[in-house]
Amino acid sequence: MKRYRILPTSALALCAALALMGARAAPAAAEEGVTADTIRVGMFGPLTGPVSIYGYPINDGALAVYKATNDAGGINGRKIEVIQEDDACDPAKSRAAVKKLISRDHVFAIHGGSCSGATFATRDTMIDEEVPFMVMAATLDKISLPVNRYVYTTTPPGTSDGAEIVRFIRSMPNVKRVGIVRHVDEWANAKMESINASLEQPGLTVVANEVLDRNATDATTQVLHLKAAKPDVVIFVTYPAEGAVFLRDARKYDLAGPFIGTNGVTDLLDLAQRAGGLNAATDVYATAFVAGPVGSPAMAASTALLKKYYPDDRPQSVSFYGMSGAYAVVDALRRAGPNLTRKAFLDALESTKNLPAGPAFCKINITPENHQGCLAQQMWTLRDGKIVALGETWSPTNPTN
Amino acid sequence: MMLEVRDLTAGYGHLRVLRGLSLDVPEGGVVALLGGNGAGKTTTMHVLAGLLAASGGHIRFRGESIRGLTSNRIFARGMTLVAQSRQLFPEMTVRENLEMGALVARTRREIAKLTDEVFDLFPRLLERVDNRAASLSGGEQQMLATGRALMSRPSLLLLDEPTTGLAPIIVHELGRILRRLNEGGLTILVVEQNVQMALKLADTVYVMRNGAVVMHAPASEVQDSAEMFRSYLS
Amino acid sequence: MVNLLTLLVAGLANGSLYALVALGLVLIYKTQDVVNFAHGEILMAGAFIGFSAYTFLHLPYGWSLVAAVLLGGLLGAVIERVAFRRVANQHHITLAMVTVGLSVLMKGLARIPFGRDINTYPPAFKADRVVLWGIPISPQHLLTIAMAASLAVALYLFFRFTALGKKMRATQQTIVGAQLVGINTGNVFASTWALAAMIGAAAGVLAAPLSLLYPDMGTNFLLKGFAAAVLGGFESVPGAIVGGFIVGVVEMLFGGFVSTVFQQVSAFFIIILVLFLKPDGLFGRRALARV
Ligand SMILES: Nc1ncnc2c1ncn2[C@@H]1O[C@H](COP(=O)(O)OP(=O)(O)OP(=O)(O)O)[C@@H](O)[C@H]1O
Ligand SMILES: [Mg+2]
Repeated sequence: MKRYRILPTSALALCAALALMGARAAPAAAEEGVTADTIRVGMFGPLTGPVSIYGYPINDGALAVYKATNDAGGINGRKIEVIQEDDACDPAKSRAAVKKLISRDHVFAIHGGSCSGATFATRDTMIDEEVPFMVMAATLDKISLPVNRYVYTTTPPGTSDGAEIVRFIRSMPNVKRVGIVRHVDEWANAKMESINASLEQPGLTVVANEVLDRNATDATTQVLHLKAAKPDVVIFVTYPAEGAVFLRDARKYDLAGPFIGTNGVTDLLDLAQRAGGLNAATDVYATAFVAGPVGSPAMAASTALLKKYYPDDRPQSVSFYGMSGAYAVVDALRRAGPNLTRKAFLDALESTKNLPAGPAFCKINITPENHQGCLAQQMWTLRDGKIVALGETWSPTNPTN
Repeated sequence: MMLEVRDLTAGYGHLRVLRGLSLDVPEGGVVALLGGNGAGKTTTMHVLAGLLAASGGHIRFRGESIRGLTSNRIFARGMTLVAQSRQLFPEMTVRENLEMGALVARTRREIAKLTDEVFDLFPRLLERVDNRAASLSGGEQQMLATGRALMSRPSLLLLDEPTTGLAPIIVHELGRILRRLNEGGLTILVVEQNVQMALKLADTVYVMRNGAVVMHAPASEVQDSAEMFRSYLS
Repeated sequence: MVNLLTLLVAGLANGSLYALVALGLVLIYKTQDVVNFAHGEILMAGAFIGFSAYTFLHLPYGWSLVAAVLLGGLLGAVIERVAFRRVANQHHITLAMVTVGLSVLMKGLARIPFGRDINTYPPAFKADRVVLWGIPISPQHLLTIAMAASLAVALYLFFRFTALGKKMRATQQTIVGAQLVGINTGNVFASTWALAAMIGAAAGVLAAPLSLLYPDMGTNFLLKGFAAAVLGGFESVPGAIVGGFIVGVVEMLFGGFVSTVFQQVSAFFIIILVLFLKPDGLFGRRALARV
């Protein structure tokens, strides 16, 4: 009896297998995540947990670029389909998210990662699985260094931001004594690494080096120590909330600037408001990765784009951090041609040249030797209640990179 | 009838303790509930006072069903329990403990009067009026627990082993006071291990074992058969 | 060198906030024998209620504080009634887990409307500092110190002289005893949660201008309040207040005279030390044999 059942069962199995193969074989493209009319891109970032405050705006900016690309007809006849995963800024979760995107969703490429630790944790997986990876907004250097065929970024890495700050300080006349207040985490440490290295060269001395914890609501001791050390300039490597706390207490205890912040506090008006008004942010500077302050003409097009797809998002600098990477991805997909393969895409990425980076100040340049596509930043400050980019006294690095 | 209990069942989780307990407490009477350790006496008192939910049966207090009422409702209807574990407020003074007993809807003057009455019954408490309850001796604590219950002017007083662990002289004193209270019109249901004391105090005795009443009789009829009770209690 | 008085004043100011947080923790702990890990989120909720009343409903500043305190109290009572009462007799580990779950839930809920931005809570006063006897202090800090001090007095009077206060004290000492004297302990639990939440919400409104406003703002304050409560013995209202001030001052002195590197955790070192020397905390009595 049993023997006779084998035949119909195997026939069924064969049919099923054929049907499946047929379904998979039907589209012209053979590459993972690519069909005749879609390209599947994975995205991850902190959508839950404390850092989701930055996670949504950053991802939304990138998503807006992809949506606009689709609405304009897509890329070589294909629409970009984004699958979003949450990493809650947690390395274990980001690894799991990336594994899921690769093995279950079969994405073509991944654009994501806004937290340094969580993003770095995925680097090896991307390389092992040979999945093209565009870093979203994480700044830790070792995510994109050493150069690897599969890993790219268009966000200035921490060390370049730090170096930029010291370069600016060196351009200030009569500045010798430097005070520092900083967080202790991967994000801040990356910036501190280059700041410390650059400060070691003669001419500048660090007279105070204070730690301000994340979520600190008071900076009394830090400010008093700095004040006692009489610095000519103070570097603060903090997030915006803590930066505001620091500036508030600096004002309270009469610690004078200039204060130089990282591109983490680019939104100087927000910073000033949180610190208790414009008065609290006199003589404050910050590096800026975006082309202009939110609301300025330089940002009008990108802001309109964001508003179109995410009308509920309040435009802030981080809203634009994910866009440059999306533009690089879209550009490379287009140049990779209709016969889209990962190899073609990677080749295209590695030949990105002078690509306008949307809301970012830089032009994107990627070569096989350099995968950090965007290093140029501006230095901003507040004048008469408005953010201005320094021009006359301070010449920014060559905007072509 | 002050209190009628019929077929009461109750327990703790899966453990069944009361298995169909019935008893009657006539108005103005003193009823003693006897039984060995673990018979379910305390459980009975807790169910009556609303500290523990019954799973079956009926409880009628002054003609009305009170089963399922919360402890504060039952208290408000005039039934007050002096728990075996006394449950005084350890950080409060003797006076504060007494005042807590009359907390529900009483005026200052009335509270003062009630407190004086309790001090009349238990002069020892007056001597220690400003001491914290935690610092009292066992006998004093029992007096305080009883006094606190009296502050609510209950019509039925439930006492769970009021004499356990007390010196004979205090046991005697307490018995005298309870009889005085009963003569003043207070109905009493008392759990006792001390058979002598129970028979002296009560009009009716109930003996329970394994969560049910195994016999009951007027105390006068069993004066001589203390031996028989002992056998039930063991 | 750093000015000792300045540090002391700043420490007292921060400490008064920790004290308020500790108060809420202690109240719940005394009645329900559980550390309420969701207390930080009650603080956060209070801050967001006040913020919404002020920025969206345009209530005056004072009234938005009142709204936060009242609605915060309501929130506390609802949490007790809906989430806590049915499990109140479970093991205290279970109860603690329930509060942890509540904390996660409340943060999650807050992220729906407020999760995409960090908001700013305006301080109660325009001036950002006044100078008293040469020491700069912000009016916001003065307000916090005043609030903590007056709340401490108000609580003392409440527990001493009001019927509800006495019922709460009775229930804290023995729940069964409270039931035996006819106290509706369910109401007492709900009122206790409401009271603790009102204090938490007030702390939230006071803390928000210092810390900025975001769904996770409560975590840090919970830790400091917890430290303060442990120092105070966790069962003592005055202990919570003094514990709060000590944590605030110790942090400042440590950061000021030793190093800012371990400033945030310095309070916890002190706690370990205190618990080592005096296991019941500075104000804890030896556990009394329950009568
Ligand atoms: N809270 C409780 N949880 C579980 N079981 C209990 C509890 N209280 C009592 N029991 C059990 O119920 C049974 C009856 O206990 P109960 O206290 O009612 O007895 P009792 O007659 O009062 O005894 P004793 O003379 O020792 O006071 C015992 O087996 C006891 O172990
Ligand atoms: Mg018993």
